[in-house]
Amino acid sequence: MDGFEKLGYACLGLLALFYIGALVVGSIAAFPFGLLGLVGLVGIGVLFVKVIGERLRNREDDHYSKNVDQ
Amino acid sequence: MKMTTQDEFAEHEIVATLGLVTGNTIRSRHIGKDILAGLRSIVGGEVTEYTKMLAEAREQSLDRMRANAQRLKADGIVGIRFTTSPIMAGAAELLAYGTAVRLRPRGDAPGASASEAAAKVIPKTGDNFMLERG
Repeated sequence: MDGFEKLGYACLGLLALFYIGALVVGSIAAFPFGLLGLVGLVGIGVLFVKVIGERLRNREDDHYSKNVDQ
Repeated sequence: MKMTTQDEFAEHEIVATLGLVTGNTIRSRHIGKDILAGLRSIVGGEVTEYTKMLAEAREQSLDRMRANAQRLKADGIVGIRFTTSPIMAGAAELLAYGTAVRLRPRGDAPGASASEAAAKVIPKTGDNFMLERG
């Protein structure tokens, strides 16, 4: 991963954080109907955390990611 | 574990067919690599992100097929084939399959030395056992 890639990912990550933050604030501002969106957001967030955890613990995936190029 | 796309090995003969062995996987790259791949398609050239993805899938499916063959106590796999199918955008399924076999060195093959073949009993189907040639 070179410098350009890192910078690109950092910008996209920052954008995603602001976007999610805006979604949460918007959902709270639209109380009580905004709670529906908030519940959906929490559900997706929980599943995303599960996926990230599984990927971090998966040694088999690490092996192929690090050792196979072409 | 010897593996080939041919129906038989040049240096070994098949003494038992153990059956079909498969190994499959579905792999994807992370969203950053998907974005890079999409941008790469604008300018053309090799999409290295997906080259790596398919290479990883190929090796993983081969390893899984080999593990299945080892569970059957096979010496080799013949007739290996690969097949792929699109599952979702940015992901690929790769299935490797072949026939697991037990082998013994051919008598006239370069690798078939007397020491490695001597007194090696290989069970065949049924009650008869065959003593390998030295």
